[in-house]
Amino acid sequence: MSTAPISKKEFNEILDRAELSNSSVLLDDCYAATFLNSVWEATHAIWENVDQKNYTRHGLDHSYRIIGYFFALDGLYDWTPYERMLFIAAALLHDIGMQVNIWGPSVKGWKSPEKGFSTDSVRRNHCRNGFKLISQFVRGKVELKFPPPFCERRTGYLTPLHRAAHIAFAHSGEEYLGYLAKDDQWRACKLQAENYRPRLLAGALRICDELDLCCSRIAYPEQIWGWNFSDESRRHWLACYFVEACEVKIHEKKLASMELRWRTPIASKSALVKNISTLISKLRVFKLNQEIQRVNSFLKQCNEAEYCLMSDVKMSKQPVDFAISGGVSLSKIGEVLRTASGRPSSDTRTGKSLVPAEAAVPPQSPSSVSENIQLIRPFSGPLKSTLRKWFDENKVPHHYALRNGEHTDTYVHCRSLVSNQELLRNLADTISMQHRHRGITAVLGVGTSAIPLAVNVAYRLNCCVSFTFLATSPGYHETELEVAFGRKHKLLMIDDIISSGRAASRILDRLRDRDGLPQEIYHHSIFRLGRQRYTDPERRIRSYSWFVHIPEVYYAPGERECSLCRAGTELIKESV
Amino acid sequence: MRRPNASKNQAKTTGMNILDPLRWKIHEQLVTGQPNPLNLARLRWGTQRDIAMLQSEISRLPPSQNNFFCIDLTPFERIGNPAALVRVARLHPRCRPVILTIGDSVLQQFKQLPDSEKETVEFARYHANGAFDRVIAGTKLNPVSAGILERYKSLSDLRSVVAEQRLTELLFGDNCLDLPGPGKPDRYTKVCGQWYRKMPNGMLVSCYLNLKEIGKSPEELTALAYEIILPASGYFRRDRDELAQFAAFVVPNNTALLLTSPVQAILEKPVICIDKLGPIPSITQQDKRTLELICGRDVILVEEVIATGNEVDRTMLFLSNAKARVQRVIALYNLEVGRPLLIEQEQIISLSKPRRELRYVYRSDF
Repeated sequence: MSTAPISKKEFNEILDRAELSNSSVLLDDCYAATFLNSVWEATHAIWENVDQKNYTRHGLDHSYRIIGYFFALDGLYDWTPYERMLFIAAALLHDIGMQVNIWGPSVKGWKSPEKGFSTDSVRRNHCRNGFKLISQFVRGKVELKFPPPFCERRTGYLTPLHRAAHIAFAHSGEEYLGYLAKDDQWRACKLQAENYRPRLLAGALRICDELDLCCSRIAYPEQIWGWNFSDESRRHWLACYFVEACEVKIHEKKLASMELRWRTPIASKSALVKNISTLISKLRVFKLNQEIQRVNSFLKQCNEAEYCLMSDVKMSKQPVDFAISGGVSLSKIGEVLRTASGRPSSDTRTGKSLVPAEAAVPPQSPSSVSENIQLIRPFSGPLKSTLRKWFDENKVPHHYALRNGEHTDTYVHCRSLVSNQELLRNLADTISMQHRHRGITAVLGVGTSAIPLAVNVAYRLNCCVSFTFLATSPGYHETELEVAFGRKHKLLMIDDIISSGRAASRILDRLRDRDGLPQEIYHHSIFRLGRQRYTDPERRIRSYSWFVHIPEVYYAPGERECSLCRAGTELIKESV
Repeated sequence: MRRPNASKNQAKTTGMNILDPLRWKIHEQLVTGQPNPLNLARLRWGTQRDIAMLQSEISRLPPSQNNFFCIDLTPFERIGNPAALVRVARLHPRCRPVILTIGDSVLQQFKQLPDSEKETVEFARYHANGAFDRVIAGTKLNPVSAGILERYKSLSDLRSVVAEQRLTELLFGDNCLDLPGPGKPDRYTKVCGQWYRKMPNGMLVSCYLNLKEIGKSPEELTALAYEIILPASGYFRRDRDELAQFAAFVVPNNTALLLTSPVQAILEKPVICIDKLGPIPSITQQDKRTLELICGRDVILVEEVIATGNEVDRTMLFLSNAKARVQRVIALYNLEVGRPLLIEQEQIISLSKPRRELRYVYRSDF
């Protein structure tokens, strides 16, 4: 991919590829080539001198690569000529707000501070500034002193500019996306018997923008240590620096497979390679999945779910070697990656924290947590509070002896929870988003209440599903305990409640004795109750995740250790 | 060892081919996690994607003993793009396409097509209540499908035959049938020269239906769920809203819950599992909140296999105690060893009765 600002020749190649270079192509009363050429000239002038040098590149080379990803999605969506024209214009315009300190003083009627906007303010408000410029130009409220203008001031040209602006500036944050959702003029329809899908175009721009976080966007890698950044920001930089490119392929007009080709410095040690791989998995793959999920939710909200993107995001199996440029310190990189927290602390698009305010997980002693077990914190938001409220309304406080031998003071049946399809849908969406990048090939529902959730997750991950449970008494039919996967699978166990993990461990013992264990095993439950350490001595489960942790529930490993038994509290045994 | 009648090879040549575009659309919506999938899928058929999927499925049709195949468009509220529909439907080299519709909307559009496009397509029209009306051919020749389709007085009769055929074929897939034989003395036993499998209740069966193997992939789950939804919805008849007549599905065991979970996702009606019902129903062990969902309501009981009918009877007892009214029992497979006694035969919809094909024997160990 080109890293220099794109020349007119390269832009003409884009127009050829979009089949819009013929000057007589007339779309909705606008000559496509004339319109796009004028947008290109205006944005080329805007990006001639780059203002913000300590960010990733936002210039026309970035727009060019975004357009490349857009063309790659043609196999899925069959873009029409009008959509191609709008998207190309939107791609050229979408980051002009980053240059507000350059063009602001040149715009008559524009108010900007004497010394220009601060770096942070430019970044945070770049969508708003860019949109304000275009919308005021469309309404004739500003006069551009820098030639040329964005297009001719005629309705046939202002309409596509206005539409392209709405698509362009919805690429970041939720504000402009909200406008597209609420206003009916942006619904998918036909223009001159061809598809016009502005909301889909906005979603596609967000995804293509996210796809282009690669090394081409890093302008000055040697200066990363010179700027006043937090380590978290440096990790985001490095997550771009170590990605060479992203390849998008369409399979059977249904699935977009996105492979991140990553790279490591020549002769890197295995520990550094592993840390880079973990960084990219957590910051790039996770964020890309998150963005795709966000766009799909937006399209569903607008009743245009037929355009949702089915995707499979993964990293390439082996990295390529590259020669690190002078001034970039490998040892400093290694140090930053070693201290990585493992999750982005905030969503760089909205600025909202992704980590819940309260610490939901009590600290575990090192001896009980192996290196391979990653305790993933539960998600915050309305889902968590809904689940917590449901738990408080449905728990039955009493002294129980569970089938796994533990004693507890609280019991809850999750069957009425999983009969709520709307809640199941939200739970399944979240679980599949979290585990999609792992290449899960089998889902196992553990227990009756987990079966509907496991089925919903299996649909989203497109893998086989089965169920099993902990049968503590004879008489259960063997086939009820059998599963539909083998050793070559990557398994996601879905459970309604986890306390000590003993039940999951015993089920894995049984699987190991009968058919052998799968390659990788992950566990996800709705509730985590109590504060016990996980009892999985062989450390077969790579990670445990849950939605809500309720630490105040009392558990004792057996009758001897149970304080409720010692106090003589009446005991109810869980049905076998 | 006596083998069941139908073999895998026989299952490949089907009696009647029916394509279900609604099922494919529902599956897509389940994969993307779309809310209200059934209603959204039924709204309209005729987008480019729909046409492409139909074309792909027509190219994969297995050989059939009939010289026509059906495309069931009856569930859809609106059907668009008739020209593309006809063009794609005619792609099959040997069989004539028959499009099943309710009402006249598609026929009106079809009549406006040029004669050359109408020549080799037939329409089977049904009334709003699902009763068969007539077959309309595009040419002056006799329609090829009329003689066969006329035998089925309604859409439900036709679909029942197709459901039986499909479910029997699924049964002969990989590992679905456990056929007893030597090698596992704890599981199998030989009596009077024949191998049987031991059931937990001490009885012996000549083969065991392992429906977990059928329901392990999402596509097969959708196929099974669709067969359940068709009778539950009254085959999408337009004169009555059958789906509004009941509040929930009830299943008596975990396998039925696995197979009915997609139904919950599609119809957005809760599925309640009433398991742990041994010889004496453990009523007090059931979750009170779950019981509240069905108290005083009409429910449909879904059973994956009926053999003696005892499990249905136990569940009926429990539901009666919980003051729920069982409208119907939908059973995927009915082995007809016995029958449930606490419900009328007319209320039991058995989608497949494979006893003869399986040569199923259920006996004691004496």
